[in-house]
Amino acid sequence: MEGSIKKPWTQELEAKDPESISPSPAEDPFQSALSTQDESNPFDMISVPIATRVKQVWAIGGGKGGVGKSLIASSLAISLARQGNKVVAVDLDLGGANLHTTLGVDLPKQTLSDFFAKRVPEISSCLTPTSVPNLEIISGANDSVAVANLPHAQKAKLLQKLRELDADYLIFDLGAGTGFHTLDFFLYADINLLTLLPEPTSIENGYRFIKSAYFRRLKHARKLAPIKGLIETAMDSKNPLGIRSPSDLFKEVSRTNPEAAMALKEEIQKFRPKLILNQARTQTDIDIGFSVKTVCKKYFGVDMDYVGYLDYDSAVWQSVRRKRPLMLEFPNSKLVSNIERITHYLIKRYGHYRNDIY
Amino acid sequence: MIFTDGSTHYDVLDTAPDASPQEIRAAYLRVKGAYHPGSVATYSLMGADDTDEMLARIEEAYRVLSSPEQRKEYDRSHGFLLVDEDRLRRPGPPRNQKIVSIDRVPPMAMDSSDPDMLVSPPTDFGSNAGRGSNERPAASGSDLFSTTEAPMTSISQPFSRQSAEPGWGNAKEVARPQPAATPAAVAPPMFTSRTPAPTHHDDPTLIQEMAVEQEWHGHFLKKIREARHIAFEEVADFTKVSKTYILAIEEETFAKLPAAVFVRGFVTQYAKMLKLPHEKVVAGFMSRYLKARPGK
Repeated sequence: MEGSIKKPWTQELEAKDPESISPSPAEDPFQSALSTQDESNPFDMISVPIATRVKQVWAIGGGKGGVGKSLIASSLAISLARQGNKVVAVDLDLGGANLHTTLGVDLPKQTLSDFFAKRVPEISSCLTPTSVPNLEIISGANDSVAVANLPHAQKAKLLQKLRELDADYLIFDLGAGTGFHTLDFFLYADINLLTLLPEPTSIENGYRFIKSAYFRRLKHARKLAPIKGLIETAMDSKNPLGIRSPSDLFKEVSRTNPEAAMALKEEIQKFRPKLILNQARTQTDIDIGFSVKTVCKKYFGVDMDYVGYLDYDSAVWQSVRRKRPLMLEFPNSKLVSNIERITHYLIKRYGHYRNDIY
Repeated sequence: MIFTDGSTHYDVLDTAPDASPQEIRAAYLRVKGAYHPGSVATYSLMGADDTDEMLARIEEAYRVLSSPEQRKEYDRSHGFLLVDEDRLRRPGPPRNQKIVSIDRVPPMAMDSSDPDMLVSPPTDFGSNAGRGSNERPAASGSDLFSTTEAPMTSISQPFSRQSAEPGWGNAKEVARPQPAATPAAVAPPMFTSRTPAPTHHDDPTLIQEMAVEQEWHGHFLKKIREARHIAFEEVADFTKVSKTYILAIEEETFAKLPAAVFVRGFVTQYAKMLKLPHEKVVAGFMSRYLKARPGK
């Protein structure tokens, strides 16, 4: 990786696997038809450091814009910080940075672009304090306009350096949409949180996001290299093989290659997004979370854990206008207790889960 | 649901096979809510036809699983019941009872159905009804009253001789109402005299072959079965799968087998009986089944 200093305590656990055979673009007709610019597997480029302080990385994504990702990310970060953890909130909405506003930080001096342009020696120079003790932010404010189209090597380097920060938890605030950087940040995290509103527009985009993340994960799974072509075919819902859903894909693979089918099942089962339903107004809204969880299981085979919901609160816009963190502005609101309940649940249930150590 | 070719009722309701009736009901209501017409949860993923189909399956699943008898029958035919559990559920004769004085046993209801039954004078016999044996499993019910060994000679030493079918050699000679009278009582003893899992000591080459096996063809299952001297009728009897189907599985005549969801259960039970890695066996077998019978 360009520019990275090989520290003696990092170890290449992600060495190239000589047995994995990915079809090259010339051989595989499907790849040339459907590939985006990202042939390389970004996760291959990240070495796993042996000794880091960071316990877990939480990423909050959602597919649709305006569902509340930044608000939830900042609130969760504040909740964790108030429990005594050292938290760094990272704004990975490349090109659409808002996190600093929700945390009440005006204009950070150094941001991600400075890191990418190597104007700063270390990522830790980009840490900006917030009004909450134990909480710092790495912002994207005033970023270069080209930052959304980051090269893969830069992204891999960023993730590695972030994992090496002196903090207990990293909270990634992701952008909207299903661009592959967003998907990769989502998949890299140990806890992948998905935010939905109980509205058809948000749900549709949410499913789209799940489908994109799911296929991106399968496409880059080394054990599934033998059926990579088939996976890529399945990504186009109007493909000639008639594979319309993940269920069809699984059937197709079972027919031809039962061992790959078992590997496929394992990979799918490793994908464990967690759902937070935002702006719930009624019990019906809350129940939508359960319905989405059920449908996800049936349609994608994905076990999504419904970790909590947040009540609709008409006062939230005020905190945004004032550019003050929600948790501090309305300390007695039900939202604060919702957030804390979610945080407790995630720590209790998934506190030891790590994605990077295979 | 995506991992099973025809999902089970439990998958449809998104609950575990050992769920309590309350859990089943709660799951039913929840899943029904997810697929109701106009539900926002299925928006953009499924059309009205798919959701209607799903709702019909949910109703059917709940119909079966909410009724205890139907649920048990379903569990049995789909390989959810562990056979040991099944044994435990049957009211068997008290197993720890070695001696029952004949005076305590109620008199047998004499009917004319079996005029050949000899009735000896009442004597204090050791009860063999409760003695669970670990000898050769009884092949089928028709052997119940066949005396395969010499009749019991040492009347005064009830425990000295173990007949292959301990109680049943007696049943004819002595008026033992309990095992002989009612058909319901006939069944339990058959289970107690049968081993839960036939003990086997496999040939090392066979063990080696089983370790590397990937395909799990029907003829290989047959080979293992024969190596352990198990008749296919015993398999049918033990797994509760009909003999025709067992044979069809071994010969891989897929046309004779029913729908995939049932076949999966049958193969699972067969594999479990032979103490094989049932998931692998099922995966291999079902891939061939689906190839032969696509769309099932």
